[in-house]
Amino acid sequence: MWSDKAEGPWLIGGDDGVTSNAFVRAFLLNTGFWWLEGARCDPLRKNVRQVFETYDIEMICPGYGAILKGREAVKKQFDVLDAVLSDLDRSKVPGRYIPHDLVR
Amino acid sequence: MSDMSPLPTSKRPMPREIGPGVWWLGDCLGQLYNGKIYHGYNAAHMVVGTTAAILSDTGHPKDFPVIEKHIEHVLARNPGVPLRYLFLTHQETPHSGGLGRLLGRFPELEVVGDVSDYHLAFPQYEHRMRFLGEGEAIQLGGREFQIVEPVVRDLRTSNWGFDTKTRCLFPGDGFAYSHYHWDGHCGMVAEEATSLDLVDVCAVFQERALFWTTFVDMERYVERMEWQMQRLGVRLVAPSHGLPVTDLERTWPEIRKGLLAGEGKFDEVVKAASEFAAHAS
Repeated sequence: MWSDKAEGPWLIGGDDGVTSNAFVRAFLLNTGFWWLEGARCDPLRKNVRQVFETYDIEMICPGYGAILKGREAVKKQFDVLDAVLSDLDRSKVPGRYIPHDLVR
Repeated sequence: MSDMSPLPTSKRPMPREIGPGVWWLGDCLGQLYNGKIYHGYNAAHMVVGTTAAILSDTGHPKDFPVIEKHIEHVLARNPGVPLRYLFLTHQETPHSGGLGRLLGRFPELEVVGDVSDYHLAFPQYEHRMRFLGEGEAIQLGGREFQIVEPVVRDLRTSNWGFDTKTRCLFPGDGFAYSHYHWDGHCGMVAEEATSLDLVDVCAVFQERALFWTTFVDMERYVERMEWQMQRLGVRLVAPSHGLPVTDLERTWPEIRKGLLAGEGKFDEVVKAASEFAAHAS
Protein backbone atom coordinates (compact mmCIF):
# COMPACT_ATOMS: atom_id res chain seq x y z
CA MET A 1 0.00 0.00 0.00
CA TRP A 2 1.31 3.41 -1.01
CA SER A 3 1.14 6.71 0.83
CA ASP A 4 1.60 10.20 -0.55
CA LYS A 5 2.96 11.28 2.81
CA ALA A 6 6.39 10.25 4.03
CA GLU A 7 5.13 10.25 7.59
CA GLY A 8 2.57 7.57 6.76
CA PRO A 9 0.64 6.08 8.42
CA TRP A 10 2.72 2.95 7.82
CA LEU A 11 1.01 0.78 10.41
CA ILE A 12 -2.61 0.13 9.48
CA GLY A 13 -5.23 -1.87 11.37
CA GLY A 14 -8.66 -2.66 9.98
CA ASP A 15 -9.72 -1.51 6.53
CA ASP A 16 -6.86 0.06 4.60
CA GLY A 17 -9.29 1.68 2.17
CA VAL A 18 -7.56 0.51 -1.03
CA THR A 19 -7.35 -3.29 -1.07
CA SER A 20 -9.75 -4.70 -3.63
CA ASN A 21 -9.58 -7.43 -6.25
CA ALA A 22 -9.07 -4.86 -9.00
CA PHE A 23 -6.30 -3.04 -7.11
CA VAL A 24 -4.35 -6.21 -6.29
CA ARG A 25 -4.82 -7.60 -9.79
CA ALA A 26 -3.47 -4.43 -11.39
CA PHE A 27 -0.56 -4.27 -8.95
CA LEU A 28 0.50 -7.85 -9.64
CA LEU A 29 0.20 -7.64 -13.42
CA ASN A 30 2.04 -4.33 -13.70
CA THR A 31 4.98 -5.36 -11.52
CA GLY A 32 7.08 -8.49 -11.13
CA PHE A 33 4.07 -10.80 -11.53
CA TRP A 34 3.23 -9.68 -15.07
CA TRP A 35 3.26 -13.36 -16.13
CA LEU A 36 0.33 -14.49 -13.93
CA GLU A 37 -2.42 -13.91 -16.49
CA GLY A 38 -3.32 -17.33 -17.89
CA ALA A 39 -0.73 -19.13 -15.75
CA ARG A 40 -1.30 -22.24 -13.65
CA CYS A 41 -2.29 -20.41 -10.47
CA ASP A 42 -3.73 -23.38 -8.57
CA PRO A 43 -0.38 -24.52 -7.12
CA LEU A 44 0.30 -20.96 -6.01
CA ARG A 45 -3.13 -20.67 -4.37
CA LYS A 46 -2.62 -23.96 -2.60
CA ASN A 47 0.73 -22.94 -1.14
CA VAL A 48 -0.39 -19.45 -0.13
CA ARG A 49 -3.44 -20.97 1.57
CA GLN A 50 -1.18 -23.41 3.39
CA VAL A 51 0.83 -20.51 4.84
CA PHE A 52 -2.36 -18.86 6.11
CA GLU A 53 -3.67 -22.09 7.63
CA THR A 54 -0.36 -23.14 9.18
CA TYR A 55 0.50 -19.94 11.01
CA ASP A 56 -1.60 -17.72 13.26
CA ILE A 57 -0.67 -14.54 11.44
CA GLU A 58 -1.47 -11.27 13.17
CA MET A 59 0.59 -8.93 11.05
CA ILE A 60 1.92 -8.69 7.47
CA CYS A 61 5.19 -6.81 7.00
CA PRO A 62 5.67 -6.62 3.23
CA GLY A 63 8.86 -5.59 1.50
CA TYR A 64 7.05 -2.56 0.08
CA GLY A 65 4.22 -0.52 1.56
CA ALA A 66 2.48 -0.27 4.87
CA ILE A 67 2.48 -2.87 7.65
CA LEU A 68 -0.98 -4.42 8.02
CA LYS A 69 -2.00 -5.31 11.55
CA GLY A 70 -4.82 -7.44 12.94
CA ARG A 71 -6.31 -10.80 12.07
CA GLU A 72 -9.13 -9.34 10.01
CA ALA A 73 -6.77 -7.24 7.90
CA VAL A 74 -4.52 -10.27 7.37
CA LYS A 75 -7.46 -12.47 6.39
CA LYS A 76 -8.67 -9.90 3.90
CA GLN A 77 -5.26 -9.78 2.19
CA PHE A 78 -5.16 -13.56 1.82
CA ASP A 79 -8.77 -13.73 0.64
CA VAL A 80 -8.29 -11.04 -2.00
CA LEU A 81 -5.03 -12.58 -3.25
CA ASP A 82 -6.73 -15.97 -3.50
CA ALA A 83 -9.65 -14.54 -5.46
CA VAL A 84 -7.34 -12.69 -7.85
CA LEU A 85 -5.19 -15.77 -8.46
CA SER A 86 -8.33 -17.81 -9.04
CA ASP A 87 -9.54 -15.37 -11.68
CA LEU A 88 -6.14 -15.33 -13.43
CA ASP A 89 -5.87 -19.14 -13.57
CA ARG A 90 -5.47 -20.86 -16.92
CA SER A 91 -8.83 -22.53 -16.45
CA LYS A 92 -10.49 -19.10 -16.75
CA VAL A 93 -8.01 -17.11 -18.85
CA PRO A 94 -6.23 -18.72 -21.82
CA GLY A 95 -2.45 -18.77 -21.63
CA ARG A 96 -0.83 -16.33 -24.04
CA TYR A 97 2.39 -14.44 -24.65
CA ILE A 98 2.39 -11.33 -22.47
CA PRO A 99 4.02 -8.45 -24.37
CA HIS A 100 6.67 -6.39 -22.64
CA ASP A 101 5.35 -3.38 -20.71
CA LEU A 102 1.69 -4.25 -21.27
CA VAL A 103 -0.28 -2.13 -18.81
CA ARG A 104 -3.32 -3.88 -17.33
CA MET B 1 37.27 -20.74 -14.25
CA SER B 2 36.13 -21.23 -10.69
CA ASP B 3 38.27 -23.90 -9.05
CA MET B 4 35.46 -26.13 -7.77
CA SER B 5 37.16 -29.50 -8.26
CA PRO B 6 40.39 -31.08 -9.51
CA LEU B 7 38.65 -32.12 -12.74
CA PRO B 8 39.86 -30.73 -16.06
CA THR B 9 39.13 -27.07 -16.56
CA SER B 10 38.62 -25.30 -19.85
CA LYS B 11 41.21 -25.53 -22.56
CA ARG B 12 39.55 -22.51 -24.13
CA PRO B 13 41.04 -19.28 -22.83
CA MET B 14 38.74 -16.38 -22.03
CA PRO B 15 37.89 -13.81 -23.25
CA ARG B 16 36.82 -15.50 -26.44
CA GLU B 17 35.85 -13.86 -29.72
CA ILE B 18 32.67 -15.69 -30.76
CA GLY B 19 32.03 -13.59 -33.86
CA PRO B 20 33.89 -10.74 -35.58
CA GLY B 21 34.16 -8.05 -32.90
CA VAL B 22 31.90 -9.90 -30.44
CA TRP B 23 33.69 -11.03 -27.30
CA TRP B 24 32.57 -13.37 -24.53
CA LEU B 25 33.88 -12.30 -21.11
CA GLY B 26 33.52 -13.65 -17.58
CA ASP B 27 33.72 -16.67 -15.40
CA CYS B 28 31.65 -19.60 -14.14
CA LEU B 29 29.75 -20.00 -10.90
CA GLY B 30 29.51 -23.54 -9.53
CA GLN B 31 26.26 -24.78 -7.97
CA LEU B 32 25.60 -28.11 -6.30
CA TYR B 33 22.53 -29.88 -7.68
CA ASN B 34 21.64 -33.56 -7.34
CA GLY B 35 25.13 -34.35 -6.08
CA LYS B 36 26.92 -32.73 -9.02
CA ILE B 37 28.53 -29.35 -9.47
CA TYR B 38 26.86 -27.60 -12.35
CA HIS B 39 28.56 -24.54 -13.78
CA GLY B 40 26.78 -21.54 -15.19
CA TYR B 41 28.20 -18.34 -16.61
CA ASN B 42 27.37 -14.84 -15.48
CA ALA B 43 28.86 -13.51 -18.64
CA ALA B 44 29.45 -10.06 -20.03
CA HIS B 45 29.91 -9.44 -23.75
CA MET B 46 31.73 -6.75 -25.68
CA VAL B 47 30.83 -5.56 -29.15
CA VAL B 48 33.57 -3.56 -30.83
CA GLY B 49 32.90 -1.18 -33.70
CA THR B 50 35.31 1.13 -35.52
CA THR B 51 34.53 4.14 -33.31
CA ALA B 52 33.21 2.73 -30.02
CA ALA B 53 32.68 -0.43 -28.03
CA ILE B 54 29.72 -1.47 -25.89
CA LEU B 55 29.65 -3.84 -22.94
CA SER B 56 26.47 -5.89 -22.52
CA ASP B 57 26.00 -6.72 -18.81
CA THR B 58 28.72 -6.44 -16.18
CA GLY B 59 28.86 -10.03 -14.98
CA HIS B 60 28.71 -11.14 -11.35
CA PRO B 61 30.31 -8.82 -8.76
CA LYS B 62 32.75 -11.57 -7.76
CA ASP B 63 34.01 -11.69 -11.35
CA PHE B 64 34.83 -8.01 -11.65
CA PRO B 65 38.64 -8.48 -11.44
CA VAL B 66 38.43 -11.11 -14.20
CA ILE B 67 36.08 -9.10 -16.39
CA GLU B 68 38.16 -5.95 -15.97
CA LYS B 69 41.18 -7.85 -17.29
CA HIS B 70 39.11 -9.25 -20.15
CA ILE B 71 37.94 -5.75 -21.09
CA GLU B 72 41.54 -4.52 -21.07
CA HIS B 73 42.52 -7.47 -23.28
CA VAL B 74 39.84 -6.62 -25.84
CA LEU B 75 40.65 -2.90 -25.80
CA ALA B 76 44.36 -3.68 -26.31
CA ARG B 77 43.38 -5.69 -29.40
CA ASN B 78 41.41 -2.68 -30.70
CA PRO B 79 43.59 0.39 -30.14
CA GLY B 80 41.79 3.71 -30.45
CA VAL B 81 38.34 2.26 -29.81
CA PRO B 82 37.04 3.37 -26.41
CA LEU B 83 34.61 1.45 -24.24
CA ARG B 84 31.90 4.08 -24.52
CA TYR B 85 28.63 2.33 -23.62
CA LEU B 86 27.26 -0.13 -21.10
CA PHE B 87 23.95 -1.92 -21.76
CA LEU B 88 22.37 -3.87 -18.91
CA THR B 89 19.79 -6.54 -19.71
CA HIS B 90 18.29 -5.99 -16.24
CA GLN B 91 18.98 -4.90 -12.68
CA GLU B 92 19.67 -8.30 -11.12
CA THR B 93 23.06 -8.51 -9.40
CA PRO B 94 24.75 -11.11 -11.69
CA HIS B 95 23.97 -8.82 -14.63
CA SER B 96 24.52 -5.34 -13.23
CA GLY B 97 26.60 -5.86 -10.08
CA GLY B 98 29.75 -4.33 -11.56
CA LEU B 99 28.01 -1.09 -12.54
CA GLY B 100 29.57 1.26 -9.98
CA ARG B 101 33.08 -0.05 -10.43
CA LEU B 102 32.85 0.14 -14.22
CA LEU B 103 31.58 3.73 -14.14
CA GLY B 104 34.46 4.58 -11.83
CA ARG B 105 37.03 2.73 -13.94
CA PHE B 106 35.89 4.16 -17.32
CA PRO B 107 35.03 7.88 -16.93
CA GLU B 108 33.60 8.13 -20.49
CA LEU B 109 31.26 5.18 -20.04
CA GLU B 110 27.53 5.86 -20.45
CA VAL B 111 24.81 3.42 -19.33
CA VAL B 112 22.06 2.95 -21.93
CA GLY B 113 18.79 0.99 -22.03
CA ASP B 114 16.18 0.72 -19.29
CA VAL B 115 18.18 2.50 -16.60
CA SER B 116 15.41 2.44 -13.97
CA ASP B 117 16.60 2.60 -10.37
CA TYR B 118 20.39 2.64 -10.96
CA HIS B 119 20.49 6.31 -9.94
CA LEU B 120 19.22 5.29 -6.50
CA ALA B 121 22.36 3.22 -5.94
CA PHE B 122 24.73 5.58 -7.74
CA PRO B 123 23.29 9.12 -7.67
CA GLN B 124 26.75 10.50 -8.42
CA TYR B 125 26.55 8.88 -11.89
CA GLU B 126 22.94 9.75 -12.77
CA HIS B 127 24.06 12.14 -15.53
CA ARG B 128 25.73 9.16 -17.26
CA MET B 129 22.54 7.08 -17.48
CA ARG B 130 20.37 7.41 -20.60
CA PHE B 131 17.04 5.71 -21.18
CA LEU B 132 16.81 3.92 -24.53
CA GLY B 133 13.69 1.94 -25.43
CA GLU B 134 13.01 -0.96 -27.78
CA GLY B 135 13.81 -0.06 -31.37
CA GLU B 136 16.46 2.49 -30.44
CA ALA B 137 20.13 1.84 -31.19
CA ILE B 138 23.69 2.83 -30.42
CA GLN B 139 26.06 3.49 -33.34
CA LEU B 140 29.45 1.81 -32.87
CA GLY B 141 30.92 2.45 -36.34
CA GLY B 142 30.26 -0.16 -39.00
CA ARG B 143 27.62 -1.76 -36.83
CA GLU B 144 24.87 -0.80 -34.43
CA PHE B 145 23.68 -2.25 -31.19
CA GLN B 146 19.89 -2.32 -31.01
CA ILE B 147 17.58 -2.59 -28.03
CA VAL B 148 15.07 -5.35 -28.83
CA GLU B 149 12.06 -7.02 -27.25
CA PRO B 150 12.88 -9.21 -24.25
CA VAL B 151 10.75 -12.30 -24.78
CA VAL B 152 11.91 -14.26 -21.71
CA ARG B 153 12.43 -11.72 -18.97
CA ASP B 154 13.46 -11.88 -15.39
CA LEU B 155 12.21 -8.43 -14.43
CA ARG B 156 9.62 -6.05 -15.84
CA THR B 157 12.52 -3.81 -16.86
CA SER B 158 14.45 -6.51 -18.77
CA ASN B 159 15.66 -5.79 -22.31
CA TRP B 160 17.60 -7.72 -24.92
CA GLY B 161 20.30 -6.45 -27.28
CA PHE B 162 21.19 -7.17 -30.92
CA ASP B 163 24.32 -6.54 -32.99
CA THR B 164 23.51 -5.82 -36.62
CA LYS B 165 26.89 -6.89 -38.03
CA THR B 166 27.09 -10.45 -36.70
CA ARG B 167 23.28 -10.76 -36.21
CA CYS B 168 24.09 -11.63 -32.61
CA LEU B 169 21.32 -11.63 -30.00
CA PHE B 170 22.13 -10.77 -26.37
CA PRO B 171 19.15 -12.28 -24.53
CA GLY B 172 20.27 -11.95 -20.90
CA ASP B 173 18.30 -14.65 -19.11
CA GLY B 174 16.91 -16.10 -22.32
CA PHE B 175 18.81 -19.24 -23.49
CA ALA B 176 19.80 -19.88 -19.86
CA TYR B 177 21.39 -23.20 -19.02
CA SER B 178 24.30 -24.58 -17.05
CA HIS B 179 27.13 -26.79 -18.33
CA TYR B 180 29.29 -29.66 -17.07
CA HIS B 181 32.53 -28.50 -15.51
CA TRP B 182 33.56 -32.16 -15.15
CA ASP B 183 33.39 -32.62 -18.91
CA GLY B 184 35.48 -29.53 -19.65
CA HIS B 185 32.64 -27.45 -21.09
CA CYS B 186 33.86 -24.19 -19.55
CA GLY B 187 34.78 -21.77 -22.32
CA MET B 188 33.15 -23.87 -25.05
CA VAL B 189 30.35 -22.78 -27.34
CA ALA B 190 27.22 -24.93 -27.24
CA GLU B 191 28.11 -26.88 -30.37
CA GLU B 192 31.52 -27.89 -28.93
CA ALA B 193 30.00 -29.24 -25.71
CA THR B 194 28.79 -32.41 -27.35
CA SER B 195 28.17 -34.33 -24.10
CA LEU B 196 25.91 -31.60 -22.71
CA ASP B 197 22.27 -32.65 -22.25
CA LEU B 198 20.77 -29.31 -23.26
CA VAL B 199 17.18 -30.32 -22.53
CA ASP B 200 18.07 -31.27 -18.96
CA VAL B 201 20.25 -28.26 -18.12
CA CYS B 202 17.73 -25.85 -19.65
CA ALA B 203 14.89 -27.34 -17.60
CA VAL B 204 16.97 -27.21 -14.40
CA PHE B 205 17.81 -23.55 -14.98
CA GLN B 206 14.15 -22.71 -15.60
CA GLU B 207 13.18 -24.20 -12.27
CA ARG B 208 16.08 -22.71 -10.31
CA ALA B 209 16.29 -19.20 -11.74
CA LEU B 210 13.18 -18.42 -13.81
CA PHE B 211 10.46 -20.06 -11.73
CA TRP B 212 7.63 -18.23 -13.53
CA THR B 213 8.40 -20.19 -16.70
CA THR B 214 7.26 -23.36 -14.94
CA PHE B 215 3.76 -21.88 -14.43
CA VAL B 216 3.00 -20.36 -17.83
CA ASP B 217 2.28 -21.79 -21.26
CA MET B 218 5.89 -21.63 -22.48
CA GLU B 219 4.91 -22.74 -25.97
CA ARG B 220 3.63 -19.18 -26.54
CA TYR B 221 6.98 -17.70 -25.43
CA VAL B 222 8.99 -20.17 -27.51
CA GLU B 223 6.90 -19.26 -30.56
CA ARG B 224 7.60 -15.59 -29.91
CA MET B 225 11.34 -16.27 -29.63
CA GLU B 226 11.23 -18.04 -33.01
CA TRP B 227 9.28 -15.16 -34.52
CA GLN B 228 11.79 -12.67 -33.18
CA MET B 229 14.86 -14.63 -34.29
CA GLN B 230 13.42 -14.93 -37.78
CA ARG B 231 12.48 -11.25 -37.94
CA LEU B 232 15.94 -10.14 -36.83
CA GLY B 233 17.81 -12.78 -38.82
CA VAL B 234 19.67 -13.99 -35.73
CA ARG B 235 22.74 -16.10 -36.48
CA LEU B 236 24.59 -16.01 -33.15
CA VAL B 237 23.32 -15.96 -29.57
CA ALA B 238 25.33 -14.70 -26.60
CA PRO B 239 23.39 -15.52 -23.43
CA SER B 240 24.38 -14.41 -19.94
CA HIS B 241 24.28 -17.87 -18.40
CA GLY B 242 24.36 -20.41 -21.21
CA LEU B 243 27.17 -21.20 -23.61
CA PRO B 244 27.13 -19.12 -26.82
CA VAL B 245 25.09 -20.62 -29.64
CA THR B 246 26.85 -20.47 -32.99
CA ASP B 247 24.64 -22.86 -34.98
CA LEU B 248 20.98 -22.15 -34.27
CA GLU B 249 19.67 -24.72 -36.72
CA ARG B 250 21.46 -27.45 -34.79
CA THR B 251 21.12 -26.19 -31.21
CA TRP B 252 17.77 -24.37 -31.03
CA PRO B 253 15.60 -27.54 -31.21
CA GLU B 254 17.25 -28.85 -28.03
CA ILE B 255 16.97 -25.53 -26.20
CA ARG B 256 13.34 -25.34 -27.32
CA LYS B 257 12.64 -28.70 -25.72
CA GLY B 258 14.41 -27.59 -22.55
CA LEU B 259 12.35 -24.41 -22.28
CA LEU B 260 9.18 -26.49 -22.52
CA ALA B 261 10.43 -29.19 -20.12
CA GLY B 262 10.36 -26.87 -17.12
CA GLU B 263 6.56 -26.92 -16.74
CA GLY B 264 5.56 -28.30 -13.35
CA LYS B 265 9.16 -28.51 -12.08
CA PHE B 266 8.57 -25.87 -9.42
CA ASP B 267 5.59 -27.83 -8.08
CA GLU B 268 7.81 -30.89 -7.72
CA VAL B 269 10.36 -28.92 -5.71
CA VAL B 270 7.67 -27.50 -3.39
CA LYS B 271 6.17 -30.97 -2.94
CA ALA B 272 9.57 -32.50 -2.18
CA ALA B 273 10.34 -29.72 0.33
CA SER B 274 7.00 -30.26 2.10
CA GLU B 275 7.58 -34.00 2.30
CA PHE B 276 11.11 -33.45 3.60
CA ALA B 277 9.83 -31.04 6.28
CA ALA B 278 7.09 -33.47 7.33
CA HIS B 279 9.58 -36.32 7.50
CA ALA B 280 12.08 -34.25 9.52
CA SER B 281 9.44 -33.27 12.08
